[in-house]
Amino acid sequence: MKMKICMILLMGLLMFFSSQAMAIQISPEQVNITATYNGQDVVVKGALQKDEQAVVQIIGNGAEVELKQQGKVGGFLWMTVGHISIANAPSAYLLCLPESINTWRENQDPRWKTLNLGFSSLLPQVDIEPKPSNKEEVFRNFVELKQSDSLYSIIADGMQYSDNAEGGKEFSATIHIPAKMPVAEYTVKMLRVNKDGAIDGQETARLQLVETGFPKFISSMAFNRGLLYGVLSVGIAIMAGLFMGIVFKDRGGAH
Amino acid sequence: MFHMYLPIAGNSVNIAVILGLGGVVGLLSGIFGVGGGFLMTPLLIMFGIPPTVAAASDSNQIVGASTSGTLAHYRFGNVDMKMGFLLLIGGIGGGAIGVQLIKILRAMGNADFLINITYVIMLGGVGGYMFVESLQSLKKDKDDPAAAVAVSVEKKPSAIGTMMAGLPFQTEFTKSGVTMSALTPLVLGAFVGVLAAIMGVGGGFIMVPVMVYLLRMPMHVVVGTSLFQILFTCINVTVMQAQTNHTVDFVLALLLLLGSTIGAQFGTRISRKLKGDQLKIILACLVLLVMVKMLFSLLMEPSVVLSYAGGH
Repeated sequence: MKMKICMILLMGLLMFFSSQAMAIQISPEQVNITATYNGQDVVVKGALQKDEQAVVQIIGNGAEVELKQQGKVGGFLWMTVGHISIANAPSAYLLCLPESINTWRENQDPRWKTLNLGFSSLLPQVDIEPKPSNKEEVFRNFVELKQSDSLYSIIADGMQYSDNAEGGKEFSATIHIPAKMPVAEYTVKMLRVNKDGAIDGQETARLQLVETGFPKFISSMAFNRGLLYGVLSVGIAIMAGLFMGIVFKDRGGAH
Repeated sequence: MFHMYLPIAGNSVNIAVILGLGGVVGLLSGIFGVGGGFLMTPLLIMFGIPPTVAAASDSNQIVGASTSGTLAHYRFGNVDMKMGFLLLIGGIGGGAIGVQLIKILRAMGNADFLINITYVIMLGGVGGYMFVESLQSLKKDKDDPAAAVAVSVEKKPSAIGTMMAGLPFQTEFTKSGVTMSALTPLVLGAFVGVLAAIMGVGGGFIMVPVMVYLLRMPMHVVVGTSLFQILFTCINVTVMQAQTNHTVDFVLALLLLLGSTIGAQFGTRISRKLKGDQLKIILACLVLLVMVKMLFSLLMEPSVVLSYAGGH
């Protein structure tokens, strides 16, 4: 009996330390949006067993979005035919796949379906109002809209592996955060996938996007002191216009 | 590549592209006396700026460009202040009516259809009329310049002109060289204000033809006076948008401004070198081009059938 308890304890300890080793590291953990920000690469690193693959997802919150739907009117005119709201769809969904799992995806391998990843995996959690007759089609249009902003994407060439001293391997996923990704907190989820397509485990971490410096100052002014911000914007625009007028007058005309 | 992050638009842009856009639209603004919103806003949307932010920030940059343009035109004696103020008062009143009208239409659910159709009809009508009229005038000039001058001097007043002459509060507008009732620019300003509010634009491209054909003002005074009127309209719009909707991106406006204020100065000088009819025919082409683009977008299937609500 004592032997059994010892064994269980030992296994528990092993599993604990093993999961500690598996913890993912994000660099940087906070993306600072400065005046010259144009998106940024984020690197997610961690350790795996030798025969495992890593899948990394960056997922935004599921705030409600109001959308206009275009359709044909009178058989030939394309214009807004209605408004819909979509709730519980992530504001961003960036999926980084290793080459092998991307091949499963491209070939529609049963193992890919088992993993339940990709844009279609989000469909069951999404609520669309008013209820459409074809939810899949509306959601596909929504994904296209998000893809046009680079907020939904599948990265098939961002995963790299290297062997480590413990006989396992290290992964490194490089994911580009697009400039249009809203200021918010995001969930970074790493799945450990074995060769049979089963998920051995998962780790999660947080990624923050925050405005700093000049963008933070402008946002704070615009949203907290709207009137003053508007008056200052107009004042500076008039001054700039007058200044340019004076500059051109002094030169006696440009041509 | 130098990029700048726009905190209100929530996106980054290439500085050179935005400076260039501002320069081109400022140039057109200086030449024709139009704010350029009907060109700039769709272009900004094309570069990933949300529609509401594009429209509000554009009106902020127009404040700078039209200040620069008005100043340049004022120096050349091309601004009719009296006419400008009357049009402005009418425009503000008309704008308020237009905003209420659009609220009712939205509630009825067919606002977008009406907006699009109004756009196409107005642009097509105004552009087409200006084009044909200016072309005929240019032809006359070429065939017999003296006769053309004589005809233009002895131009018979139209039925509308006779009716206008009978209205009360007759006022002399020295800079424009016309005498008419003060009610005329007030009512026409209100009419443009209603259309501008429905279409979501400043209305310069409707105001210019109104001044030329209905108020019979000389083209060069039209350009200066239009810019003067646009300046005040856009000050009002910018402050209102900043306070109510928080959609003015000052960083974007400033970048556009740098380009447009320089463009406006060059435009003003080009405008001085062109004849009135030449100016009208180029503006007509521009208006027709926007109309064709608009018509095209109505007839072609969009690449993405969903769009974020909040602008049109």
